[in-house]
Amino acid sequence: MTSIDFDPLLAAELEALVPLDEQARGDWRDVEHRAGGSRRSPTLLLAATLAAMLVALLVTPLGGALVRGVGDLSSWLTGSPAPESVVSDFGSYAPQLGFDPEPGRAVLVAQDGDVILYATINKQGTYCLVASTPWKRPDKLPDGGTCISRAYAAAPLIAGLVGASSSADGTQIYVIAGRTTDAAARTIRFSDPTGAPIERAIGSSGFFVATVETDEPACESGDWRPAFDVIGANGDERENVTITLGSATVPGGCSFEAPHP
Amino acid sequence: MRRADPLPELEELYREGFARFLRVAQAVTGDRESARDAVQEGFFKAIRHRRSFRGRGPLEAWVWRIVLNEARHAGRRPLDLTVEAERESANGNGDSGDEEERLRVAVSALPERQRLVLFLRYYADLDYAAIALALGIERGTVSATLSAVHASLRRALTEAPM
Repeated sequence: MTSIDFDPLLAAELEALVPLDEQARGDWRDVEHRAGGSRRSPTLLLAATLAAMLVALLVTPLGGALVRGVGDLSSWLTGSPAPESVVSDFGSYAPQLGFDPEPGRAVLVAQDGDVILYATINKQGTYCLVASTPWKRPDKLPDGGTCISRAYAAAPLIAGLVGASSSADGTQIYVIAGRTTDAAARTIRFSDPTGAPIERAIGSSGFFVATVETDEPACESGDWRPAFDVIGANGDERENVTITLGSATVPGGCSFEAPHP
Repeated sequence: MRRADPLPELEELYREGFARFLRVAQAVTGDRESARDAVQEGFFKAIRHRRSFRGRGPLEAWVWRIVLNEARHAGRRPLDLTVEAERESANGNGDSGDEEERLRVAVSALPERQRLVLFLRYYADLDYAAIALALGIERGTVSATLSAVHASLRRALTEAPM
């Protein structure tokens, strides 16, 4: 290994998290067997089936009407233009893994105090997110953000962690962001790890962001798995979805996910 | 000129690098069995699509990209290190437990791009050029990302933010 940007102390800590198992031996025959043609990958079969269904859909009058109804997939994303630092953040990492974000389309979609959520479309037909927080501003600590898969983007509601920190007094700070596809949604409601209710207004294009502060770790009492209520303009509950924000891996430990259904 | 069939090279890479591929996949999936399957499936796809390898960059970086994609889709619990944590707990070694837990949480909270760069640097032993090729990003981006990761993790270890 070269010596560039290699932190020996950090390396020692990381070593303990996932030790190298030098005795681990693979099974090359299994790989060859998989590649031998006797077994088609379920993923390939699914992809082929979906492709066939898509072709069938497009050549029918109903399919054509549906496609016309969807229109420009990028036109749904609205919001005030993002600052140059955010555009640069999206752009500096393009293309992301499997995604090509369009930095020039970045907009501010939701805000909770000094935490701001930005989104932009990508060439894959979904979107990517960048969170700006007091401890991680795009101009000082760019990270390229997170891109959402087609499957997740199509879900009625997604939510997940986009940032975290803790203050000197031990307060845990979690930044939860997500999106609802319900155009009539006005408010999102869920609960913090202690069960206390969190309620935030939905921003542009169905996006929301919430800063959650608690005195105890997210998974102190097991998984942090709140029910998300999507509330309409009249206070009517339009959707209720349970999403796991933090998974208790060990006592006191927690594993978080980016926005997901 | 027609490129030679890279199958023998793939087999050699698999046999010599299996432990590293497994380690990174486990860090991504959070689960050893899923990780093993991701490596197997990744190499299977590398064999199946080896003719599409254009030779731009080393074969290893191309395979890393495939295996990482498999691992990313196999796991939904990044760095779920239950096995290691339980092993440590069973050994009664709790001195560094808090620090490890802080690091674990901090790594889990990193954006996916940053996590992958971290894993490829420290667990796969790849240099910047190879990481850039494996992730399809610029070499300078690898450097900037790693600097950001270092800053985040050092802060997590010294000041307890995550």
